[in-house]
Amino acid sequence: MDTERRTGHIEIRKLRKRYEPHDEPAVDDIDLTIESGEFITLLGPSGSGKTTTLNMIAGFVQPTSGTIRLNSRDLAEVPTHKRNFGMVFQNYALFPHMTVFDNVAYPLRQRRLPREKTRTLVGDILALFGLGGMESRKPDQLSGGQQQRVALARAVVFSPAVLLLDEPLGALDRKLRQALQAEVKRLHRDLGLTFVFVTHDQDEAMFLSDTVAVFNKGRVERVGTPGELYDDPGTLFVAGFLGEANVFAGSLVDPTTYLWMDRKWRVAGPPRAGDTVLVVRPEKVRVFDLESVPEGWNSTPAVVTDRSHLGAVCKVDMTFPDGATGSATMPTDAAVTVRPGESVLAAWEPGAQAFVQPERA
Amino acid sequence: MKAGRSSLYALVFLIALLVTVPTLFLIPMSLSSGTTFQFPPPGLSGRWYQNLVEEPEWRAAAVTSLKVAAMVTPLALVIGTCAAFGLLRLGRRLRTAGFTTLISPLVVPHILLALAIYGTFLKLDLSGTLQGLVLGQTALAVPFVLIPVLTRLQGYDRSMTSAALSLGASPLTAFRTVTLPLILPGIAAGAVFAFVASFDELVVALLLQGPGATTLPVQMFNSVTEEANPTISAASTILVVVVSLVILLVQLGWIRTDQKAGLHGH
Repeated sequence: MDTERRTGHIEIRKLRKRYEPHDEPAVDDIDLTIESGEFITLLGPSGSGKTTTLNMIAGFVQPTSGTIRLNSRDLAEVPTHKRNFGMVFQNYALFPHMTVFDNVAYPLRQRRLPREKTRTLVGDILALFGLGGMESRKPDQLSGGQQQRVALARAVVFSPAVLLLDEPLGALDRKLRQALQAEVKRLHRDLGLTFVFVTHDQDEAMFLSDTVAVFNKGRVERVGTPGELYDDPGTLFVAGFLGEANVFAGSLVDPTTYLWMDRKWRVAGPPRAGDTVLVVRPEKVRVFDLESVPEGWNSTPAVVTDRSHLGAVCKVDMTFPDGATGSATMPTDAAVTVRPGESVLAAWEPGAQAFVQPERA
Repeated sequence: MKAGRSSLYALVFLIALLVTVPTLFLIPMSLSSGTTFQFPPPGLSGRWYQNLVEEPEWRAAAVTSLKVAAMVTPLALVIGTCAAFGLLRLGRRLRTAGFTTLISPLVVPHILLALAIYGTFLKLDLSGTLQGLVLGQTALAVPFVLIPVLTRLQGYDRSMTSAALSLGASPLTAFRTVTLPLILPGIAAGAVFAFVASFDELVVALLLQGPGATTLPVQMFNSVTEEANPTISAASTILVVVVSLVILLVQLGWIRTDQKAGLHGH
């Protein structure tokens, strides 16, 4: 009981799930530590193992091997209903035959709270979520956003050790999703509860999280703050999944020189062993006429394929000499007047580039 | 558009007439004062109903029918509902095989099934007993439960159960408070169909009949071959009324729960 009072600290060690003996494991030996009160996002494409991992934390899926500990207590023998984890589902999973009040009171009734206490807690949490006066409505009499708020209220009303969120905003339209993202973030700050959030939406992950764990092919590719992952993605997969990247697969000829095609580029800091691919974020790239590249910048010839005005920024799409496509984004007023078909030099400061590991086979 | 709709209504009305009119002839015939199946009846009287109540075989048959149906219904409900849950957990191929086997009583000619059951029950000394009748008719009634429950379960979102578990409900409580109420309409429909399937079943009941194990349809069949008087119309009317009432009550119940849900929303 004592361990359940503290907000959850979760330790995942060598966790593996294989559904069929001959299949690739859905989750392959992952290690992950989730700090108390942290907002962590498991980010990855579909089939990357993030949802399976969440379902193992929740107790819906039995791990093939490995351990999950909550506040150093092994959860292997603890069934879902005794884990004291709140969970929010993608489709809300509100009970359609119960009123909003009964839905939110459900976890409290399972815990046999006194009637009065239940009424007070439910009333308070509904007010907190702006759902006052909707107690006696059925879920199908609510809008999508209201349903999601009820689902959130129901999942936190019993002060769970951890809140698990399985793509909870995926079914909402963009505007509503952004509004609810802000609400989820505020909720996390107000409750001080550990949040484990699953999404395939990188912007959502960046906006919400203290920590992002990027999943790929059943493994955790990299863990870090959104800033760390963006500036130093570590692997080509992360670079491409979190934001956009211009990718150059060349080789390091000496600690200060990178060779790509026939171009020799300066290296600001020596890369880690194995990080052989150079990536540059589009907003670090500038487009110049053929002669006017600033001293000390790395550059490559490119052919402009498109130029689009995106409001605050302007985006220039290009093709590089190796046939790969890339882009540069820059403030609209700084944009040079390039036209599709024009040959230019794409250039960036050596400090703006990052080295990453090539894609795993 | 409008013309299309009204001709559709007309068509549906015609089909409804076609289905119900023959049954509706029963009622005036059962109230006939004559001794033959004459239409229109020469006069009105309640003598055939009196006959039905006073003659011991008829009364016993009605009671037997109710008894058997009252035992078949819960049995078929439990078996059919469990089977529906079980089938959903199987792989695709096994599920299809299991489903086909369980609903085969709907497809296999009734008389074949009845003969098979008769032959087996003779050996087991179940022929001519109430238990035999109940078992035989339960086999026939299971598909009527399985189909509506399975349909309801396939539309059931399993994340409801996951949600209940995550909120602290034990698997049993989750089933009782979430799954069961949501599939209840399927179970209720199954109960009505199972009751009706047993109450007016003839072929199996005919082969398995015995003293104390003669149902109303069997009594009717026997009486047609012997004495043929409007008692049988009276019995048929009762059969129709009971079956219709059961179905009607369930539908009224639906409407009431809907209204309650609506009122609750204020």
